[in-house]
Amino acid sequence: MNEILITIIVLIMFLFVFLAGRKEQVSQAESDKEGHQSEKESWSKEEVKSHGDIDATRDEMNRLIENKLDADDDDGIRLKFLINEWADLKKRVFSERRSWVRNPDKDSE
Amino acid sequence: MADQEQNSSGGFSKTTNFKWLAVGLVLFILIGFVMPLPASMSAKAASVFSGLSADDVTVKATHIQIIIALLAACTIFFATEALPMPAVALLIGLVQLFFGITAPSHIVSTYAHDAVWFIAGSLAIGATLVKYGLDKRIGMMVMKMSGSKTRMIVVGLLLGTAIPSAFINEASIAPMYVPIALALYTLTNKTIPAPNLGKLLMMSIAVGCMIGAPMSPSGGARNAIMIGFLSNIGVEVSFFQWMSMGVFYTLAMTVFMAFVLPLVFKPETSDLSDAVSTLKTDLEKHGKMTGKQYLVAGIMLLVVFMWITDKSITRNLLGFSLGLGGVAITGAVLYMLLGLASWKDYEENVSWGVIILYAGAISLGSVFRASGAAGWLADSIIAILAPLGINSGIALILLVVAIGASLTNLMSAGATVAVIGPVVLDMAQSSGTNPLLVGVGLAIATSLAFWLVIGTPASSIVYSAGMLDAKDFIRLAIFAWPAALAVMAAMVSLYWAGVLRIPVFLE
Repeated sequence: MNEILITIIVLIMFLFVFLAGRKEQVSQAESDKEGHQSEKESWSKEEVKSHGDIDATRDEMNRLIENKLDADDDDGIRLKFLINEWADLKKRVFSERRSWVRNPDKDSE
Repeated sequence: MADQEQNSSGGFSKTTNFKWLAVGLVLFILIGFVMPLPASMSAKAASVFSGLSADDVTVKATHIQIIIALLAACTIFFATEALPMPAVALLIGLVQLFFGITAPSHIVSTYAHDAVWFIAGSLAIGATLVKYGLDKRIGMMVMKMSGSKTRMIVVGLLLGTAIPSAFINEASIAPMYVPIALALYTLTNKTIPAPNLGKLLMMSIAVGCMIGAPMSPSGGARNAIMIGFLSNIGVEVSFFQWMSMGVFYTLAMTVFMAFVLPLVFKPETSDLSDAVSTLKTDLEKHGKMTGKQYLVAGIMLLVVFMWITDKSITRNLLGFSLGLGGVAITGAVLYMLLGLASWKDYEENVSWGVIILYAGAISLGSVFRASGAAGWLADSIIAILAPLGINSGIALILLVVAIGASLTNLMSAGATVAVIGPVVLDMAQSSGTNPLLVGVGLAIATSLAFWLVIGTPASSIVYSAGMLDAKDFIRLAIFAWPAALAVMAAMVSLYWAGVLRIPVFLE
């Protein structure tokens, strides 16, 4: 009699655990999905420019600096350095947000 | 290896969930120590360990009870991922050690098996293929061959994910295809709003991974574990034999899904010419395959060839076979010898936790059998099933298939095989049914995890892409799950028994 009772208790526990355990894992999967979605949204708010657009803006800014400041002016050199750094970062952002399909550089080895 | 799957789930990254740990421990104590020792356990111990004194038989019967309790606790831990999974694997050995079930000098040997080498080698080979972008090459090839009709692209995605999933971890295959599907959807969605198309393409990826894994032993650690369990009872399964048994399911389900998926997720357009042409232009920018990629692919093909011919050509040449594990490790070491992979690559990209987990499963299976616990549980279940006439032959195989197909939706596929594998093999043996059919049937049935978003790692990966809802999986499962069971029933009774002429009963 005890054996049957314990078997029934164990089976009920299994059923409860299976259902509850899976529920927790499903909510984890849902929160992962939401995480991905919010990451996507934050990317969509990012001002993304192609390599060509970035180079054009960089050239335009550099020309502007050259016209307004002396070629050897320290401020001009610092500004150009910052603009180049900005352009490199923008290009990296552009490449990194693309999947491997549209980004041959991501192809391994 | 599809069951590297575990790595993407919480079972490897989470720390202990004390609520479920407590439930598991309560169950362990309840079954192992509160429940009076059943007389049937003493009788089983006496029959397994003949010639022992009454006191020794009682000790052995107590061991059976503790192993049954351990199995119950492990089931809880596998289902809830209450503990980091490798910790469960190590606990299996510790319980044997602390309760004197296995001698300390033998504990480590219970974790060792060719199947564990096979899992480790396959994961290392898969990691090298991914390192060299060969998974992407497969995707590019599929896109080249699929044409531009939606239905043909679905067939392409199904086969393009199913075939590699038989050899490489599905958790690597699915993420590689998701950007392809997303690109097709996004490019189409610009002109025609196409939410169903997105669902259809994503679901094709998940389903392809699910139906491809049963095709070969390297399609998942669960398959390797089953080969290990079968080998423990003296049934050797060759790679080719498994493939000849599993290919029916993959092909039949591909045909079925190619029809059903577009009916369940009716696409807004039947022609994706514009999107396909843009995608192909992008893919062409990746250039041709490099020499190293050819070399990596060549070694992979050599490994597959050696797996298939291990019990024929290799055995004839060497006088013995290398075993699936021996061949897999040969491939992994060859990559290092040729400078294609470093040890660091393997350290970083192979989930060693998965290897420990399945070594633990092998240990559980081994002690489960050696202690007589598997035999006792099998006898108890057979006694219940006998009056219903489903305790042997095809009826038993189909019952095991149904149990496996249900449990895999509640636990991971590998855990399902680990927990019930030794019991059903013992049931097969004691009823005279061919354990090969029961074992392979169970392993294939564990791929029927259609119902939940967390059913397989591929399901979770496509779900996180954001186009599918949880109810989409249920919508598909309503058709796919019973159909897959019907395909399995046909496979067992017509293909295995009829075409392959594998005996259902052993003499």
